[in-house]
Amino acid sequence: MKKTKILVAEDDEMTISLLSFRLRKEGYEVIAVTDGKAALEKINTEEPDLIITDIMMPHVTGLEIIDYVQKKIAKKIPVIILSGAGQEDTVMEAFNLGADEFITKPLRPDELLQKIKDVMG
Amino acid sequence: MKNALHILVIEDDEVDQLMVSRSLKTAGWQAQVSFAANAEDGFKELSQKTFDCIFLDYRLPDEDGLSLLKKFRQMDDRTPIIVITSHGDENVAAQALKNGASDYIPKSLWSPEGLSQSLRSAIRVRNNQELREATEKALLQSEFRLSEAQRIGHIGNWEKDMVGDDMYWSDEAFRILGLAPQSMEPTLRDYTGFVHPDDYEKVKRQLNQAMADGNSYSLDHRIVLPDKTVKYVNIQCRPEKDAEGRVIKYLGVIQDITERKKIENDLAHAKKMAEQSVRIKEEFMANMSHEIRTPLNAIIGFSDLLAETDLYDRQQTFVNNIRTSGKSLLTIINDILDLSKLEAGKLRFEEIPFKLSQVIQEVIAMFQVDVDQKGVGLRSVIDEEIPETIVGDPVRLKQILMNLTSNAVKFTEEGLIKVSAKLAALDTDQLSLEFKVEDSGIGIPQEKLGTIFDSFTQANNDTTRKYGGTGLGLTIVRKLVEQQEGSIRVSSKPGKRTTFTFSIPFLRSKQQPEKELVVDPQIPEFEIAGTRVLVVEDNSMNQILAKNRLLQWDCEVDIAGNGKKGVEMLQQNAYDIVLMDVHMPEMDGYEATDFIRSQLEPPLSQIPIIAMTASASAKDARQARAAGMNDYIAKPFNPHRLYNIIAEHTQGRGATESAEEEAAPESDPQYQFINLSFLKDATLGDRNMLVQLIEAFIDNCKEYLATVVQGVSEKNWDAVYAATHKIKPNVSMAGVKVMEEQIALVDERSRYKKDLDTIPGLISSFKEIYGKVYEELKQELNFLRHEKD
Repeated sequence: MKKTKILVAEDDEMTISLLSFRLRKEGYEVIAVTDGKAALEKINTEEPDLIITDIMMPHVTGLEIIDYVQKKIAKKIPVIILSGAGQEDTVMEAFNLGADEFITKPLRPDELLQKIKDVMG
Repeated sequence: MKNALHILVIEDDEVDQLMVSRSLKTAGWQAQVSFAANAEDGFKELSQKTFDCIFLDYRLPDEDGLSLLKKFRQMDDRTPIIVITSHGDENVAAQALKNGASDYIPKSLWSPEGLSQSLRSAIRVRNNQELREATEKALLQSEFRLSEAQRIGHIGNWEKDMVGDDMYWSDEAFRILGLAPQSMEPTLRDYTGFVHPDDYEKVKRQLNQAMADGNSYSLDHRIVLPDKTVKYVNIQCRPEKDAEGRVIKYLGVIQDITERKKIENDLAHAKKMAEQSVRIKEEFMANMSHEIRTPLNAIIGFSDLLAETDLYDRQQTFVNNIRTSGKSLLTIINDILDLSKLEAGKLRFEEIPFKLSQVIQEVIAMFQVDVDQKGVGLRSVIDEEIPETIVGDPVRLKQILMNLTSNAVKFTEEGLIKVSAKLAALDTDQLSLEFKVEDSGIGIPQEKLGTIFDSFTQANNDTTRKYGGTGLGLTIVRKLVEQQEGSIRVSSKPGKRTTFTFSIPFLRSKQQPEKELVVDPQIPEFEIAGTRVLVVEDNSMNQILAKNRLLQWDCEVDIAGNGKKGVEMLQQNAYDIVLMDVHMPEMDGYEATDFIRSQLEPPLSQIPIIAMTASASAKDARQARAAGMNDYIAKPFNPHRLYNIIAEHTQGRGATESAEEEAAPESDPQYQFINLSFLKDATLGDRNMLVQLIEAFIDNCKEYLATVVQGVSEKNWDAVYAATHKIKPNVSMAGVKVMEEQIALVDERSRYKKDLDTIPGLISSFKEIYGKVYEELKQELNFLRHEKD
């Protein structure tokens, strides 16, 4: 079976390293980018099965990524957002734009892996 | 020569006339020769017939040949004319040729061969000229057609070769650019001068790219005409290449697409407006729901309280009427909102384990009093083969069953109402249940069965008058069933019975239902008297309602009017639990919870906080959890649920607390400041990864310090907030408790711009602690690297 391909967009080096490490361990194919603009490019070139994105990122924000995926990509790609504490308003906005799940930082890998399973059905 | 030539000879001397015809015959020409003896006759002949050639004597009795020749040419007659001259007429001959004669023959040099040669060449010249004229005419016509096509289609064409800056523009290209056709010799620079300043970069980029890759392109951009009008044009460009593939020329068209763009813009605008109006409608519905429900909750809540005081019988009846009306109004509003959500496809269905028997029992219990009063029986039958716990949306299932049962109760005056569930299909993961709600009521006329599920339709208008209701109930039921991929049908015998049958697929459960999903156990298991409750709520009606309800259960109650006040009171007095409204001025419930959880010391920071939300959606629940709240309750609160929530979170507390303490030790025994247990767990024993993360943490801290020190010196608090917010999770991951506290304060204060004068102090103490943290991290890195080798 083809590996599930996950695009991870997060500008914090520590978070993205840990995240990619755990996802790869779990058998996922990971494409890691540290800014939103790169994320948009990879969405088109790599056609990921799932997107995990931070909200606050340089150039293009996580919200813009969700919006882009909803409006410009024909295929339904689930999106999990990473948010800091105290960003509930933004999380709500993300849900309204079509995000499927969210997880707060600091990242708890087990929780995230569970949510990925939930989202991917 | 197949066809005979028609020759006119204008000559007064009969001898010379004969000489011409004889010479033609001798030279082998088949010719019909006409003669004219003077200029007047010659002119007459020519105006009546067409000739292939004219022989014209220069000396005529009435007029000289030259002036006759001029006349012919003025008439636009192009018949070749060979002038016959006498000796010493060389001047005349030259004049004749200048005025359009094909040739001249001096009489003295007359010979059949000479005549023949002159004639042949004159005819050839004439034929060539005719051919050229026809070609030119065709060309002109096709140019005219092309130009008309360009004018009609507003498409001009242009060319640009690789040498120099010059271009060719067609007439229409000029017109599109607002210029008179061919009014100048255009260059590429002239064209770029028309490009709208905002589109200039785009056009330049495209031009450069075409130069670089030699590909065709199509580009829309705006131009500004000399009179400042802005137009949209589409440019298509195709390079022409030589045999070696080098671009030698660009060919293209320019099309005026202003009209099309205008329509596109209008459409986009109309679409935006439509979307906006849908959104406004949705927001309006949401706001209205809040605005209506808040006072309504107060009405219902106060009449509940009032009904429990000592009242005269009549007063009791009045209060009951208020309650009943309030509740039915609430039902109607909820119906309308549900329907609008269902129609917008916005309702999300839960997939959670629940006990079917419990849902059905609750529905039965809800109508028991009504049916007892009417003397109608109400029974439930559940197929024993149905697994006890199934996975689906219990709240929506209950809503469907309640709606159908409530109808049955409404329309049944005697006999029996039966609610049943049967196992329709079962496989390893899924099962399908068939539910029936049967009654022995008035029934539905046959002709109404088809429309019974449509909005605002009841069996007849009398029904509405007699039995009330919005007529939305069955529409909602059908949508709830269908959106869960189920189906529903109805059968009825008027005056005898009605049966609603629906089936919904569920998932099979692998676990027991979670505690919170058991809907309202009827009997409170715990005593909550004496519990100290802090209610944080800005609406005074809701304050009083909550307070009265809690006082009834002998709780101690304090009220705080907003989140900020709530946090203050929490620090001043001792409480067991906080009920927190989520939407408040000053500091809302989420912020207040965040503050309590992150800023206060344990055990205060661990106090149970229950969110009071406007609705009971899964989203509200998630949001409350995300903010660190323990549970949520939707307003208006069901007293039983409120009681149980308080009982559950105040009495079960000791156990969870100690469990949490065991799970997360305060610090790494090895180190004073850092606690790497989280990172060690998360990296699953991979030392390389751990090293990498620690190094990243060190880099991030350095970068953070540099950024905030600069931000503070420039008083750029947004930059300080952004950096702090970003480093916050890192500090938590590295388990540096002391730093976490400082970071949280800097985060909060830079975000809300308060107590800003404390920030430099916090940062310098962060810096100081980081020095020690760095020592410990270095020690750990040494250890890890050493271990690796």
